[in-house]
Parts: sequence; structure tokens; C-alpha cells
Amino acid sequence: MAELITPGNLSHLHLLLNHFPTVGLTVAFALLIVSILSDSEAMRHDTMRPTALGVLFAIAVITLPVFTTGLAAEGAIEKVPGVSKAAMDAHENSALLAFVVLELAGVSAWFGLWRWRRTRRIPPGLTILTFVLSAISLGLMTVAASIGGGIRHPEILADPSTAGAQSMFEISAAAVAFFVNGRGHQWVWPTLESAHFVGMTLWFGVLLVANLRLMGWLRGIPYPALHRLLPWALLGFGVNEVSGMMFYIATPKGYTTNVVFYWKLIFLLIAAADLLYLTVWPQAWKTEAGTPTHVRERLIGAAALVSFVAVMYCGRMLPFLGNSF
Amino acid sequence: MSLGWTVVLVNFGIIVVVYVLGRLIDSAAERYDSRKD
Amino acid sequence: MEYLTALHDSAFSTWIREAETVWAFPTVLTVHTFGMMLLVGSAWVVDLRLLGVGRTIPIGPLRPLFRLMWFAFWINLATGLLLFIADPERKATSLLFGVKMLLIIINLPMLTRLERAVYGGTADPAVVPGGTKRLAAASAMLWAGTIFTGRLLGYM
Repeated sequence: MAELITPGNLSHLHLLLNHFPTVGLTVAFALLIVSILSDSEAMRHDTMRPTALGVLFAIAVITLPVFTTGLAAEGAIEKVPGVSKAAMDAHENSALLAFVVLELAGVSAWFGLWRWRRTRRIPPGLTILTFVLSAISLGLMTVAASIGGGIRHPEILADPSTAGAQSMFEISAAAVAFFVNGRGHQWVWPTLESAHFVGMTLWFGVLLVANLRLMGWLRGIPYPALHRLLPWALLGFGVNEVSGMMFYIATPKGYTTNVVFYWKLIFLLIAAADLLYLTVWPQAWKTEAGTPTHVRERLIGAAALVSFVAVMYCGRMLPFLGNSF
Repeated sequence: MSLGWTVVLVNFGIIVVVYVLGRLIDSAAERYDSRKD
Repeated sequence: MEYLTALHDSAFSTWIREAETVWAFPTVLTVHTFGMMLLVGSAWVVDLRLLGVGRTIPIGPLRPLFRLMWFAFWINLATGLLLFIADPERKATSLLFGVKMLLIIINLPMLTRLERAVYGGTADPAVVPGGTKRLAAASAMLWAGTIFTGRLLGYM
């Protein structure tokens, strides 16, 4: 599989995936607007709005590999003549900010879904918060995307000499890298690694118990009670996403050409899909203490647990199996 | 401050923040989970 | 000290440490991480519940998690032993290693006491006395400390 990691493929993967936080986000945002403007109770609380939130969450999740493949694509084409390093840096910085806001929008959307499953209603505050964060991230994504277009297509810029001009709003990737790797900052990497382990045990612990219940074990626990713990899994994920992104931005070279890291992301996406399923699964509310579960749930639970271990395996084995560090 | 102590302190700080956030969310759930389907 | 040097120079220790196969040190380390995931992951859920999080979760049915924790502990004792054998001199003389072992040695009887406190009596396991809560919190923090010292050992 490692032979698939070629400069061409890495660039192509990024160009393929970047449609999600642009086109996809626009669609999700439109669904959200429709669900807000609709007069129908059903649209607001049963169908359209939960769907919009779910799509938004999914897009926030898939934008993680969008960002990582972006750095991989940079590594792949930075030596190509005619490519502007300044444009790539500007794109990366504006994309980073857009990404952060999008992840916050995804978290907000998830909480909306969590409340929806628990009370059949989405709290208006969460709808508003999700709307505002999605709107801002859509704007920022547009800026990042148009700067990104200038990397290889200066003809789309009104003034080609502005390729590399920075957006007003950006987070400097270089600042992140300095924080992690800079002189006097030796404490940062080990601290983030420890945090990464703690976050991992937290999300794994919660999702382990939830998926075991899906598989029919721990039957004395009504599923709705476990559902209440799901935010803790998100918190664990959150710590890991932040620390993971810091590792990645600070030293991309160890990861971008390491096929094991791509596997880790794939299994991570499966884990996120499991979290979404656990959050909105309709049967969840009917699974009381003692209720058995169906084959489909058992398979999903088993697949999820395997994915969690695979994420850990890939992460732990990165320096050994790959060609990194 | 030595490396080890920094790691321990910052991480316990992260744990405290996560714990506080988690408990806030959980108490909100306790208050507002009046309806289940 | 000579025993440690002899151990370090032994074929087995050398194999774990230096063999070019993924099945040596990398696998031992990964299984050790897996055990940690199971052990501390379960501990977070149990300890959080005992501290009053997710009060609708009945405490009784959580008991199998204690068995899971002990199962994971044995995995980590075994893999931990292999990791020690791979690098005995530095580990045995390391303060960090000593602290990690101390944290575990203190935590194990706490784990037993915790299980007995919650499930041992005839009282309804839904009621968690204050002393048990403090025990749960302390145990959780000891696991956290075990993770930190373990991770720092990787930099030795």
C-alpha cells in the first residue's frame, strides 16, 4: 500500500477531499437554513434539522483528512517550478483557521444531535450557535479555497502578483510549529503526548462500554443511560484532535508519506461514524435494561471496537512500521 | 521547572478542565432530560 | 547490578530490544498500550460513575468492568516485565520507573478496596458513600500519573 503514496496521489487526494468543506459545507448550511426558515414542526425537529446537523458533523469530521492531505500535497509539490511557496503558506494559514471554526461548528452540531436524541427537541441556543459557526467557517473556507486556487492557477486571481497575499484572518502554522518545537519548548511534545494518551483512554473507555452494550453485553444497563456519557467521548476526541493536529502541523514530514498514518485516519473516520451512530441510533431509546440487541447492532459494535484498537495500533506503530522520525 | 513536573502539571490541568466541562454538560443533561421518546 | 547487566546481555533481552522484526519491541509496546487503554478506559467510566456522573447508569451492572481491569492489568504486568527485561539497567536505576511502580503498587489495593466498597456489602450499590467517591477519584488520578510517568519513560 505504501507505493500508493506518490506526490501525484497526495495532491489528487487533497483536491478530491477539499470539496467536502466547500461544496459539502454549502449544502449542509443550506439544509440548516431551510430547517430554520421552515414553518413545519416536523421539518424543524424530526427531519430536516437533525439531518442538517448530522451532515455538518460528518463534514467537520472529514475535513480532518482534508487538512492533513493539504500538508501532504504541499510536501509533494513544493519543489515544482512555478508553484508559489508563499501562496501555499497563506493557504495553509487561512485553512487552519477555517478548519478550527468548522470543528467547533461540528461539535456544536453534535451537541444538537445529542440533545435531539434525548429530548426530541433541539435547543434553540444550539441551533443558533451552530448556524453562526457554520456561517463563519463557510466564509473562512471560501477565503482559504480562493487563496488555494492561486497556488497553481494564478490566472484566476485578478492580480496574479497577489498570489501569496494573506487573508486578514488566519492562524499561523509556523506559530504552532514554533510552540511545539521551538527553543526552550522541550516540555511541549511530551506533554501533548501524555495528553494524547489520556484523551485516548477517555474516549475509548466510554465508547467501549457503549459498544459492548450494542453487542449485548452489560445488559443490565439501559442504553439511554450510557448515551448520557457520550459527551465525555467527544471531550476525549477533542483533546486528541488538538494534540494530534499540533504534532502534525509541527512535523508533517513524519506523517505525510507514512502509509500507516493514512490507515490511522481511515480507522478514525470509522470511529467517528460509530460515535454518530451511537448518538442518533433510533433503537437506542428502546434498549432498556435487559433488552437484547439485533445482529446489525452487534456487528456495528464489533466493527467499532476493532477500529478503535486499529487507531491505537497505527498510532503506536507509526515510527516502527512507517518510514518516519 | 523540570520536564517531568511540567508534563504532570499541565496534564493534570487538562484533566481538570475536561472534568469540569464534562460535569457541566452532565448536570445540564440531568436538568433537561425530562422527555425521552 | 551484575544480574541486570547479565540480563541486558542475554539473548532474550537483546532480541526484544534489537530484533529487526515488528514482533519484538514494537509489538510488546503496542500490547502494553492496549492493556492501558482497557484498564484506564474502564477505570474512567467506573470512577466517573462513582463520582456521580451519569446517575441513570445502574452501578450493579458495571461490575464486570472490574474483571476487565484486572485482565488488562495482567496483560500489562506481562508486557511490562518484557519491557523491563529489554532495558533492565536503566529501568532499575531510574527514579521515574520507581515512581511509576510505586503509583501502581498503591493503586492495586485501592482498586480491590473500591470494588469491595461498592459491591461487597448488602447495601444497594446505587448509593455511593463519600469515602468511596474519594477512593475513586484518588484511584483515577493514580492511573493518570501512571500514564504520565510511563510516557516520560519513553524518553529515557
